[in-house]
Amino acid sequence: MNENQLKVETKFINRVVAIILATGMYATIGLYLVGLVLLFTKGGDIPSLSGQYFHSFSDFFSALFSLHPRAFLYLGTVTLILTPVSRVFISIIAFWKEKDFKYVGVTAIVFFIIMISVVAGSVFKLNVG
Amino acid sequence: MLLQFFLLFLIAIFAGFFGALVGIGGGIIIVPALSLLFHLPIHMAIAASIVSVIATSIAGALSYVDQQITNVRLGMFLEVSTTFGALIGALVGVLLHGYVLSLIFGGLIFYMAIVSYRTRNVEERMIESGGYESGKAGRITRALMLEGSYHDEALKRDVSYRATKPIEGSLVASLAGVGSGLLGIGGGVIKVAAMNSMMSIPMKASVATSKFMIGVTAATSAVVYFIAGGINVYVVAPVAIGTMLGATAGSAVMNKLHSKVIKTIFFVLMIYLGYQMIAKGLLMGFDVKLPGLV
Repeated sequence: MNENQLKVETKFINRVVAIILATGMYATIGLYLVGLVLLFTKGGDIPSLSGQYFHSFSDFFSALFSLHPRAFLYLGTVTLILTPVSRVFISIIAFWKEKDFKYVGVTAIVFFIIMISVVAGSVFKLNVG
Repeated sequence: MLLQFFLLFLIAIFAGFFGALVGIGGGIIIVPALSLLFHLPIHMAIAASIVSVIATSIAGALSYVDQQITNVRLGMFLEVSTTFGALIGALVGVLLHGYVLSLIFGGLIFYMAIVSYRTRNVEERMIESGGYESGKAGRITRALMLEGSYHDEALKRDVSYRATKPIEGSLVASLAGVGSGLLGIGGGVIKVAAMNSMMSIPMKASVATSKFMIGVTAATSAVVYFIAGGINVYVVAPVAIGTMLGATAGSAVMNKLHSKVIKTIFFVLMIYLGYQMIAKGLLMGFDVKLPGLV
């Protein structure tokens, strides 16, 4: 790969990364703000930790459609956590499009280790950092 | 309740701003603030802090990628070691005594603090003389194109650099992962030190790249906390918004500062963190209580 190709690729990858991060950030802020505004306008107590979680999709959707703050705060948190993980995953595709297979490999390894950590962490209740 | 939310929000802005300047997640500010000021149990404070670290990383990384200071390739390369280190840390964590690790990490952080402080005046001279460009590129550096450039606003010039010692840098970076898996430290401090002191990456590029990487390490553990049901979304929301605002502001300021200023703040922070780790180790292992332990 020559100097010029490298510059073009770097620009492309940076743009892809920036778009994912920006989307994740604004979506999270939006969901959190809706949640907090609902919390302060509708009032109500903050549920205990276990009460914040949802037991099923229908549980979640009924909270979402009845504009319960916890549904929006929960969704915002899920969006936030998934943003860096999607950044890694989409970078694999972006490097592939640039035919930079060394970095397809590097990024795929990172994604693979994240998946192992998540599975191992959830199964063994490990504190994966 | 409104007042509490507002206070939480203010502290988060401060942590986000500060974290963006030196390339750390800001957990060392958020965790004590949540447990001391809001009396949250420590594990809940750590879980909330990890989610806010993702938030500050996203906001800071976005700004630094826009400013083209982040080296995405270098970040991806080192993420292999940090995520692997975190996994190993989590797996062997149960076998080792926490106090031994705390003492080892405390010592390591002190050592890197001193290296960083001693080079605080050399950094800009090295940029002027092109010292960061002339690093000897080994096979890995060439194969993976671990080089880059950014525009330094304090020096008003472009700075090019090339990574040296990628293997050594990876090993130290994997310790950042092990540390975050075991001890709940974010690892940004170690990532910055690994890049700047070991791999001869200029301070600002190290800060921006560390900020970019932190989100991935933090997201990995956040997923686990989330599945285990340990994240309080009511606490996390104001903290995350605050750290995002703070990080956006901090990352707009960072490139205007001289690296000597950034390195001095970084030094103070590392000495504090190193002291905390050693105090924690002495307390856990030998029941010796040093003053000022959070």
